[in-house]
Amino acid sequence: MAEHILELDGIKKSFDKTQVLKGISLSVRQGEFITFLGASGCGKTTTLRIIAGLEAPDEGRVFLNGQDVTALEPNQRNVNTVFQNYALFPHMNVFANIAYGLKLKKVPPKEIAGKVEEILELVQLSGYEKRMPSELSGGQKQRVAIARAVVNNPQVLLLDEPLGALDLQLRRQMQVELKRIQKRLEITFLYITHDQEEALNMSDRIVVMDNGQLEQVGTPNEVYYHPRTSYAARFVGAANILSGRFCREEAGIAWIEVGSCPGEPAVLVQASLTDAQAELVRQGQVTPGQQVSMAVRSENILLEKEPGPGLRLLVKEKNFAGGMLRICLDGGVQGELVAGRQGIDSAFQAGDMATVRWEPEHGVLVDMEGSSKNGT
Amino acid sequence: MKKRIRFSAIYQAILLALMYVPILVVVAYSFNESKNSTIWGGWSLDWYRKLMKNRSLLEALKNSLILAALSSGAAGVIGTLGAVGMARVRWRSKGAVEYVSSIPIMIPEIILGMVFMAFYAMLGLPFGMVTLVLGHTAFCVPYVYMMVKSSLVGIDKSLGEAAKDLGASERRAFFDITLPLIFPAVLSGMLLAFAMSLDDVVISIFVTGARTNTLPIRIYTQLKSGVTPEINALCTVMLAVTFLLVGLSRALGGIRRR
Repeated sequence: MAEHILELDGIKKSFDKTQVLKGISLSVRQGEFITFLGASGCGKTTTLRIIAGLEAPDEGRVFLNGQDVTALEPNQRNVNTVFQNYALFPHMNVFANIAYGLKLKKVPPKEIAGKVEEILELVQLSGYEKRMPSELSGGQKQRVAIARAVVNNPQVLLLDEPLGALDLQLRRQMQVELKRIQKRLEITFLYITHDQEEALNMSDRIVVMDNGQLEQVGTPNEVYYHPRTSYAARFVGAANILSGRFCREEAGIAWIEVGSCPGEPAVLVQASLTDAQAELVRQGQVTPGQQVSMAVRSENILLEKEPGPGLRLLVKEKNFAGGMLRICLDGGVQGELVAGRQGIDSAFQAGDMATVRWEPEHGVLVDMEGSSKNGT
Repeated sequence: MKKRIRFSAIYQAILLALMYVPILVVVAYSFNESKNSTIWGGWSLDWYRKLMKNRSLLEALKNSLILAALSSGAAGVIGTLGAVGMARVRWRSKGAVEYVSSIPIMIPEIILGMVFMAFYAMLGLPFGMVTLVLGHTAFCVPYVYMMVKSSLVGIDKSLGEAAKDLGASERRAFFDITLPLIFPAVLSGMLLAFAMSLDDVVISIFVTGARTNTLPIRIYTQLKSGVTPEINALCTVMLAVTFLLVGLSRALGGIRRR
């Protein structure tokens, strides 16, 4: 067995002169749950279709278990897909749908029956063999679609926004279940979603994608707490992005001068540096006065009434969203900052002034590495 | 509002007068005892009995049925393959190709008939069943093509992809997934084609040989020697068959859209 079950090497693809994939390279380990996270139109579905063989890349190669499969038809690849709209065959019952792949592989009927029964049990649909797809609910269709794909024991299971059509409660339940199925079968899952919560909950690794490129590849922890780019920071966990001028570096902490209102003295804020970023500073690649961006998550923003060190901002509005109290702060040149978490000091009212600060480790410098966006 | 009701009433009256009154009269007179087609002489099935004994008419009916079966069958295959194939390609000339292939429905039959006759003569084909089948297939294909094309629109493209993803070849995916789903449309198009072939006179007259008579031609030539109640009986039978086929075709179309 090759070291990586799936490898993408410099995949490029254009549709009608629009380049939708601009050189995607990625390696996936056996048994990994990897999620492509990005807004619609970022190229994630095209990537999946190229892995499945439903589209051919203009450039680059796809390796499955060390074998170059770029030129192979979908039916020659040991990869199966759970389609966004399930794509269950409407004229076949649940059993025939799930058995279809096995039948094509000429598995003996007795064995097929056993496997289908087993997989139906796994997706908790035992006894549904005779039902037609039109007689199933959305969640049940979803389970049949998963069963139909995994029963073939693919090297990689591709899932294209499989939970997109389900309501929130069902979606949460299916997240848990998908993770359970994946652990049980030890199949590599390549999951596509635009929902950061899904990505953070289920993935071993997240691939943040934007505009046909990989923005960041990392564990949910890394992507959430150490976003590398402002896009990743904004897309995962909706972080606040501030830009300012780099002042100095001290013990892994960067001091950044963010603009305040004209005429008022500039304010220094802090952000922690990764080792690589600190190295860049030491090499003189980042110099005082240079424009930099930093991210800080809304739940890490601390608010105080009394004037003190930090940004002094106006509370613009206060509202509940997603179970959190959010406070929007108007920051003059800064645009808008959002502070929010459970139990945030609700003593503030719109129109109050607040002092805004955060612990240095909660500030993260982003967009530093320029072209070195590729992960492992 | 009131006006619209009156319009629809007028429409219905005209339709009845122009279509169904003649039909009903003919059907009624096919059961007429009297030989004179203008005098009512009481109910009788005589003309149907005579019809059953009329060898040349029955021969013509047999020819017509064979012709309709062969040409609608051929049109079923060609039209289906055409529609499925065209649904896959993204040529710039696709619209033009589709327009050209649906033209047989719009060209006056008499012109088509002349064209076919001239061409078959040039090829030196023996006029008879072969030329009939060729000609009828040509004008039957568009019916199947259009039926299948519209049913393909309603089929999720990812179904074929899912089949291939599960290990089916292109051909296998077609026979396992696409064909069963469009089959009601194929059948419905073929039934329509069958009905069209069965009652075609114009093209048949041009492309048939001296020895091969189809039923419509037979009726037409017999009419020259006057309308007999026997013809009325035959028309009634044909009408019944046509209504049945068109009704069946519509019912199948309904299943497809369910």
